Amino acid sequence: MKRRTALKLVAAGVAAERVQIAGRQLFALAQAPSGYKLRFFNDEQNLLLDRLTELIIPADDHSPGAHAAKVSLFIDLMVSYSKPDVQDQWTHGLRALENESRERFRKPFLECVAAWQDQIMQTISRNEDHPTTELEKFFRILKSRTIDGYYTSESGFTRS
Amino acid sequence: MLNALMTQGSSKPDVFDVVVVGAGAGGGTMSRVMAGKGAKVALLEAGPKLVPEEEFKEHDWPYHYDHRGAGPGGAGYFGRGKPFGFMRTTSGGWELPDEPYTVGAGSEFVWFRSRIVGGRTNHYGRMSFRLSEWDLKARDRDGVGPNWPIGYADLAPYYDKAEKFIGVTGTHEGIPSAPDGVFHEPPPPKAHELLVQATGKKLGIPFIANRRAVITRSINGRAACHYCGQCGRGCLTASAYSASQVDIFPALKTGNLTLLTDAMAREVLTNASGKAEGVLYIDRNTRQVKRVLGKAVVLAASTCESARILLNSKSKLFPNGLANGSGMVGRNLMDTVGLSVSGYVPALEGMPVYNTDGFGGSHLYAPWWGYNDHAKLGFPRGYHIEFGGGFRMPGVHSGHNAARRAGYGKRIKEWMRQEYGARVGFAGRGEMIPNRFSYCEIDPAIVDDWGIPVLRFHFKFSDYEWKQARHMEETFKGIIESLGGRVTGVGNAWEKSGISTGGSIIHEVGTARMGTDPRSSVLNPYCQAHEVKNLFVTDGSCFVTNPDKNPTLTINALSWRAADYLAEAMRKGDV
Repeated sequence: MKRRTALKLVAAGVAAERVQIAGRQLFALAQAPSGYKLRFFNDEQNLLLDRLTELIIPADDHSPGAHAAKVSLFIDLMVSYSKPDVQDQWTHGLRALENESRERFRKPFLECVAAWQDQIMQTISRNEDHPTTELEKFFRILKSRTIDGYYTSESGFTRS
Repeated sequence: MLNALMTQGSSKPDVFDVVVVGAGAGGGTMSRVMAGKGAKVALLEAGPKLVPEEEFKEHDWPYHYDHRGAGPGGAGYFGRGKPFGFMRTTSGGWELPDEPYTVGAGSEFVWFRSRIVGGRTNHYGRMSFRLSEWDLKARDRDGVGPNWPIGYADLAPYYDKAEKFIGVTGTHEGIPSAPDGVFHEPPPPKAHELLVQATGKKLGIPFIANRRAVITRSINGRAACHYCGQCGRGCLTASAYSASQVDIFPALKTGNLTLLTDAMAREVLTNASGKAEGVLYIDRNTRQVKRVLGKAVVLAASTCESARILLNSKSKLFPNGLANGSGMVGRNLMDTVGLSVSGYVPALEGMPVYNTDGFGGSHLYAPWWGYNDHAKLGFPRGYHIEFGGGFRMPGVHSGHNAARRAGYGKRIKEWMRQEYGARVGFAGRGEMIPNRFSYCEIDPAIVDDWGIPVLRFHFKFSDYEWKQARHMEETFKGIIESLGGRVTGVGNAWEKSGISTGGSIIHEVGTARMGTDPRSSVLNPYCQAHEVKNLFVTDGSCFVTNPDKNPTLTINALSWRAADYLAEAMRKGDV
């Protein structure tokens, strides 16, 4: 896509100087953000978040999922910018989910088999339009940021 | 660039031939034309210089940023991002912390100001429609509002010049309300646009090629549009018109143009005989008050800002503000009437995703079609339809509708695939009739951070506009239903009351209108002040009415016409 844009610029007869500038811009942009360091969540929370986003947007025949698109890192960045009450909603939400898992299946969420994880996801997503419990509300914001992060990622853009 | 003023041995600065205030469409055109004729021009811009290569994010994708387009600090999520989004080339905005304005009790008005070389033309929609004879002489048809002192024959040669120079797409249609022009070939319609066009035919609404200031063949060293579709982000190849890249940067190469940036104009200076002799401004970088002198002064600071400068230019000879013997400066403030309706069209579901080559915005639009029906419509003037849809650039916030109710898992992806491209939105852009409740004046109590008295706005739509907005709403609902779709929303954030908030369409005009009678107008038909021969105002403030044609092209044409007139008058020594 990017290469194509650059070629079109040349084909369109854009002055060489301009193409160089555009090309530099495109090259700089091709260096996707990397070496991201967690700003808000700890490693453990991030692993859980990563799994949750992948459950919301899994890899399928068409494209990679939220895990490959590193959506949890986007969420970390946005939560780091959020007000304390929103940040609390995230930490409390992750903790409540963990508690739910231990209560129902006597295991941390990440150690549950897929079917059990799915049961918990079903519970927290069932009132998406009118969430009432803490976990239902957490699902809303979790899903919202997951959609944002995935569909603005490279695979979300070009392959999904 | 301040050298021209500052390097003089004596305390008396150079006198320019023309001092222009405002580096947007009007000031850019004036500066380019005058500098091209050999005049020494000083151009004042309240904002900084523009470096497109650094500023424009034309080809960026959201995933090139950690924040994916939400903006630094996630600003887009928290309602404090750039207007229209991180990627857009907008400078300034709805609120400028150092330059407040006030709104009178009972009024709502918002004022978008760009503070940068090129002004709002760096990011504007670039819709370029000619006023018709009917627009200019509308009173003759319906008895409502004033006529313009000029007719289509006066403007047409300058529309020709402006279109040839800036480049406008379009097709020849012979529609009386939408005069044809000198056109570049438009890009082909997108799939959803063809569907809308077909349904429009059934409903008697003509959807024709959009007329936008984008070139599709190379002119004047500008490359033809490369169809990235992101005009609002600024165009690195200047294929989309902007006053900065198309007027001002080339004019600087003549050596006749001196650009003074970060220069906040405060007032026009006049001499004892009542002639303008320059502009008093504040250098934002040093906070120093400075003067730049000229044989003629042209205000093109934007409709309300020019009115503000005139009203703040009080003197013994001009106690009510400069050129304001008529009391019309600040009066007759108009914006465009706006109302939008969005819909979901199942017929567009699951369409194979294709690269919708073309320019940003719609490739089609509908000029006003009901010009013979106003008696039965119950409102005097028309509107045109702009619409959107298709495979738009996704960003944060854009996938929520499709994903809603899909729970979690693979189904979300299936829904997103199915719904991508199935949403459409229609927006009306209609004429507002000037009224005595809509004006701006100097707020007697408040000055901005630069010590300059600020504007206070008063604004009201009348029944004419409300009825027109209801017609828009019914029409757009009808189109969506005719497409087999369902209406998903009426009104955007600015339109919660059922009509756009005054100023929010950013088409404000009328505050120093032209006319033949100095008792009821500020300017003559050449944008020259009745009371001050060497003072011109060539932005939207000279407009007499505000037809449904987005104002920039007419500003380009009127400013060019004023420049020719001014140059001729200077040649004769008659300013």
